[in-house]
Amino acid sequence: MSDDLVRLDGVAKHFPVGGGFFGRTAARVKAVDGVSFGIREGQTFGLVGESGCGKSTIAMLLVKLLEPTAGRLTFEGADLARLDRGAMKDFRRRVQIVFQDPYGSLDPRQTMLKALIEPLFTLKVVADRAAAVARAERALEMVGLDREVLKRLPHELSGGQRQRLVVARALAVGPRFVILDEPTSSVDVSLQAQILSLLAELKRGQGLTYLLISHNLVVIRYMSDVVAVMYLGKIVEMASSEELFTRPLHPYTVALISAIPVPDPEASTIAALAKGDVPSPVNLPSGCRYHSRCPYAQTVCREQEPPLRELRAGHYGACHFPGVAASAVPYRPES
Amino acid sequence: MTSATRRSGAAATAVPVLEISDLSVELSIGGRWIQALDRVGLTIQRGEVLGLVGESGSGKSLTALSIAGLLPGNARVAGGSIRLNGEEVLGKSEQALNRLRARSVALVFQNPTSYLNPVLTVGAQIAEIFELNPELLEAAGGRTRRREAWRQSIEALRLVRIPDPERVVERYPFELSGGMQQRVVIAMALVRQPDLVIADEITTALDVTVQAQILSLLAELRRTVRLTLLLITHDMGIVAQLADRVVVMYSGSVVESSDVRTLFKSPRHPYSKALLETVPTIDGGRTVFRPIRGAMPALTDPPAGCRFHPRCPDAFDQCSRRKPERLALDPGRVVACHLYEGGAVSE
Repeated sequence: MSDDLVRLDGVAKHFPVGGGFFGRTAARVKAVDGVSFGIREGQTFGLVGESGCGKSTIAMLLVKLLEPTAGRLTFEGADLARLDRGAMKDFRRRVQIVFQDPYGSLDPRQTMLKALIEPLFTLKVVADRAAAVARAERALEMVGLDREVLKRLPHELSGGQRQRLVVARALAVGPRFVILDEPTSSVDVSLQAQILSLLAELKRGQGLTYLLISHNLVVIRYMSDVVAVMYLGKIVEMASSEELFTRPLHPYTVALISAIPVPDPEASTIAALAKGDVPSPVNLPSGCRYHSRCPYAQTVCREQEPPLRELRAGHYGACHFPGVAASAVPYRPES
Repeated sequence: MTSATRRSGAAATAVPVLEISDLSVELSIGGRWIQALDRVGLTIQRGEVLGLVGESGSGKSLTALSIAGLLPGNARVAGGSIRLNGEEVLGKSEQALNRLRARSVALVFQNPTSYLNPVLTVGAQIAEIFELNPELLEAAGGRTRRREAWRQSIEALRLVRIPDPERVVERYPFELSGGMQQRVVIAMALVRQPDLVIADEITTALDVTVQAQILSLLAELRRTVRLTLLLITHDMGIVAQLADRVVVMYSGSVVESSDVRTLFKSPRHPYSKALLETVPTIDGGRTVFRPIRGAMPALTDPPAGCRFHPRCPDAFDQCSRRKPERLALDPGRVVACHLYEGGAVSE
């Protein structure tokens, strides 16, 4: 669709592994294996999945830290593979990423002022130091940090402050699209709520579009308009957040949802609906990639890979027996 | 001072598996002794699962390490008592502590790889426990001790629902997934038939579907082997699903302890309330969750009075002046908050 701000069409990223002495490739990890979706302006698109599903690889592809093996990524309609020098600089400013570990995203010997203003010069957002400092201070204010932190080094900040600071740094350059890769997985629960509220508020205030990547379904549910569930490099289900969480059709989505311990001692107990562990992406199962863990798998699941198709209006799923696990969705009373 | 805690525990007649009272621990930071635990008290009865919740820095792991006598070198116990089956742990010699750790208490931590020996097979590691504790081996029945130890290692793996235990027992830890490794560590904890298992954030590093498997395993073991468990977690969902009682810690102190249903239905301490409100759920519709303002104070620079008062929505003048005493509000519920002094406040 042309009105998508960001689009992925059949995107794949394969990594060679076990490169022998002469650089021979022993195998390929299909980290992302044919993924297509679009993100509309102003949306928060949630990408959820367990470790190894390829969600962070998609983030790296979208900021051009990696190049795709196949497929096409576009931003504002422009093919990311064909950006010229000028367009590239513009792209770097308009697309920002916030990584999971704020400590690892900050130079331990750089003051916060330096951390904030350096990208402003690199990306030619400002012309002089005074303008840079003013912009840095405005960004700090947006994330609720005191300007006193500007003098500090990363280790002198608390975990919550560091997380806010990397958000401020991403926003200081004035992006249009922000990728949030596990933005709260390194902070405590009380801070998680603070950071998520802040991100939601900034999105409204600055008119941003988000790609939110998380393994935490509760975070995804709280923040996202549209959600895609990934498993071993593929999207297995995609729908509006409301639809996906109330009417999940793929057994894997059902397993993910019912795996969350409900914070109510009176409610249902934990359900472990996915068997075993995620298989290695080097050695993908035949047919449906989820069949080895799926309690409903039939012969066809082992033999044929189900395509992602529209199962209900705007609700996509890749399963031979969509809805088979629906009865397993634990009843969650309205609180 | 301790009358409140005593009274609440008086209903139970049996000697508790674990009874901690007024435990204070100090840490040496920058040449200064900082109070890290302030008169912590908790009790676990046999067959009970006690959830210990709080954010990082609340002192829950330090409490666990104190029980096992595994405090780091820069920590010292400044007072209080820890009784395991009625026997005082504090002040024991290293040798006596070792015996205690071998028999009574088993710990399972967040990261199984740091606990497992990378150069020994799973079976060799479990069999080693039998070697060190020969009394654990049941009558060998004609088999050699070594073979019996191996057989029981396989049984231990079966107990924690490891598929194909005869093969897994021959594997090295790196050949197993994180979830399988964590099961092995749990199996190693269980073969010693400890009186108490301490599980410190054991599912935090795991994927959600694997976490669900481990949690349902714990729920099952609770029934089958009557596991007595100190379950340390920051996840209120896990507590709700597994614990019988809950102890909420904040900045080195117990702020509330209660049975799990009562706590979730009517939390009394403002921090417990806030903690429950920060948990978003995926029930129908979007749940707006209220963040707790501010951050946990640094141990080196704690606020005066109640340590939660700078973040507390209900704070009043008393709160910054003195520390609240523990109050037994209802049977089995202890709260440390000025709001309830005089017992006038009720929901």
